[in-house]
Amino acid sequence: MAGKKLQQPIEGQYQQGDVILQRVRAIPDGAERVNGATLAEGEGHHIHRFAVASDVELYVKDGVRFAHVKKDTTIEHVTPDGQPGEHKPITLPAGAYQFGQVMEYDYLAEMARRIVD
Amino acid sequence: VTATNSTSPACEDERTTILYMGANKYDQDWTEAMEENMDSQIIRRPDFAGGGITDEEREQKVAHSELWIQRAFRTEPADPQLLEEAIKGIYRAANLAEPRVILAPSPFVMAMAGGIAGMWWYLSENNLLNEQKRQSVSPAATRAATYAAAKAATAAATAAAAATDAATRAATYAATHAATDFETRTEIFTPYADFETNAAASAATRGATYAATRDAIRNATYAATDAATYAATHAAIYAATGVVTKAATPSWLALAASFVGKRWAKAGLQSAIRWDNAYQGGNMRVSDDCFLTAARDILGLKLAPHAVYDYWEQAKINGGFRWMHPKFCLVSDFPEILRVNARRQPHAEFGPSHRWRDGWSIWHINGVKVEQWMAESHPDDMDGRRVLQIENVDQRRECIRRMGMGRIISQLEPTVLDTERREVGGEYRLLAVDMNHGEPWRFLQMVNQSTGAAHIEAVPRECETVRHALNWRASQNINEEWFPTILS
Repeated sequence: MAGKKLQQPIEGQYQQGDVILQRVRAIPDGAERVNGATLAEGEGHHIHRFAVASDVELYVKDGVRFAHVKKDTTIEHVTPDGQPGEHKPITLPAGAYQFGQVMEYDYLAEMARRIVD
Repeated sequence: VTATNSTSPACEDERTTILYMGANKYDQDWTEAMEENMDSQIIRRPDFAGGGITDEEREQKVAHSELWIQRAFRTEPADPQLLEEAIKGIYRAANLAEPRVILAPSPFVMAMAGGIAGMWWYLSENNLLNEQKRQSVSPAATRAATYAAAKAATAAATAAAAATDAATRAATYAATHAATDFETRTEIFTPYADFETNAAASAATRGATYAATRDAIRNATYAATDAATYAATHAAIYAATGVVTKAATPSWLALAASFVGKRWAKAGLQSAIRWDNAYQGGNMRVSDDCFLTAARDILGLKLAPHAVYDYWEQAKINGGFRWMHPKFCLVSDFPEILRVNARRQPHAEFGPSHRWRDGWSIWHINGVKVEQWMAESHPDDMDGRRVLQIENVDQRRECIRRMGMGRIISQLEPTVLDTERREVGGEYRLLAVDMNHGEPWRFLQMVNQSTGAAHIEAVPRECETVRHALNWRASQNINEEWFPTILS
């Protein structure tokens, strides 16, 4: 039960609150382009989004979401009016990413569920 | 309006000439105007202010912002007479007949009464009020009636705003509430586009003065007031009217039926949820007005639209949220309690963050809307197991913060299955907690890397280590490694 030896972070993995991004080699063929620059929106209406919408293109394939980041850009956590949320901005290098949200386990429903915030 | 003419009057500094552009050129020329005006001298005229702001004005704007912040946080009873004069002035400015002005004890009453009253007027004007042949109308007829009733109110609200307030505000309002009646409101709004205050004030102060004044004053006032006043109240009205109209309980239907008859009772309730088609924020949305009045009171602008803007300003000062209708204007009283934390987020423990004089209350902890028990229970009396089952993680976090990890641990007596400290992410613990519901549940305890607040989230029993838990949260696969290089 003793604490484990410190690990090294894995290159290409990024997280802001409950939003996770994993770098991938490319956006998969056949992915459908979707509008916007929002990664996730909570019930409290805080938004995780790319600060500069023109820096990114979002795609979806089979329910999995992807982002083509054209140049180094920032992900921000804000209110609908643009005021800062609780999570600090993170900078994402240019590249292709798969993104989604962390889950937690619902013991009563006996299934994974998306974090509600 | 002189300040919006594209041809400037004689100007001491040629570089400021560009600032006399028409309002519709604002976007394309804004950046250029900012750059051109950086070195301009201070210019103050009744129709123009340019060249930045002076040190004295900078001091004044702090006090001015604080004045509006105090107005946003008013908790004494509203003065019905002052309110009525202001509201009637707004209607007159919009070429609307003077309405009956009613002071509602809370925003919730404003929304419910406005919805039912708006339906009554729609039925009355269309000779439907006494048509009680059937017990109820079809869903389609209900929708059509609520839409039509809301349309009339929307038109009144939009015209009133256009006549006295900002074109930009009204346009934004229409655009962001497009799901309801965007086209109609746009058409209604257009004739008033040249007759309003904000465009004139913006044009007259454009450039360095505009930037220094508007950004500092508007943003400071917004940051200090919006979360605790407008945002909190708007969300609460929306939620409360949604609950009532969706549930349509017998008591609510009976209340609506007492005004519009049984046949239209459901439509009356459903009109209430359209309150945000026709509302204005009153003293709970003041940041733009803080700027507009600063341009007038500190920079010395004297613009023709100020004459009618005064009504708008007085309505802001003297009342809360309001429902604008051609026949009536329901204005909410100020809350009697409005509590905030040091960051001016709505916040109260052991009581509501907001309470109006009819008892309607809402609860917040550090800006997070919570249920009454979450805010008012003594931490010693809170059930840690109940807290861990709160679905909303923001509410759960605030309850954990209230209880404190020490109290949670001592109450739940978890078994610590594993610990791990990561370079990115800090300290994690995997806990097993007897929830009085079968085998112990497993939770990952962690620290929010941006705020330092503790989080506890459930993970499945297959997670035997912190690493498993972190992997599962990201991919639902305990063996797929997740260890981000950046985590905020």
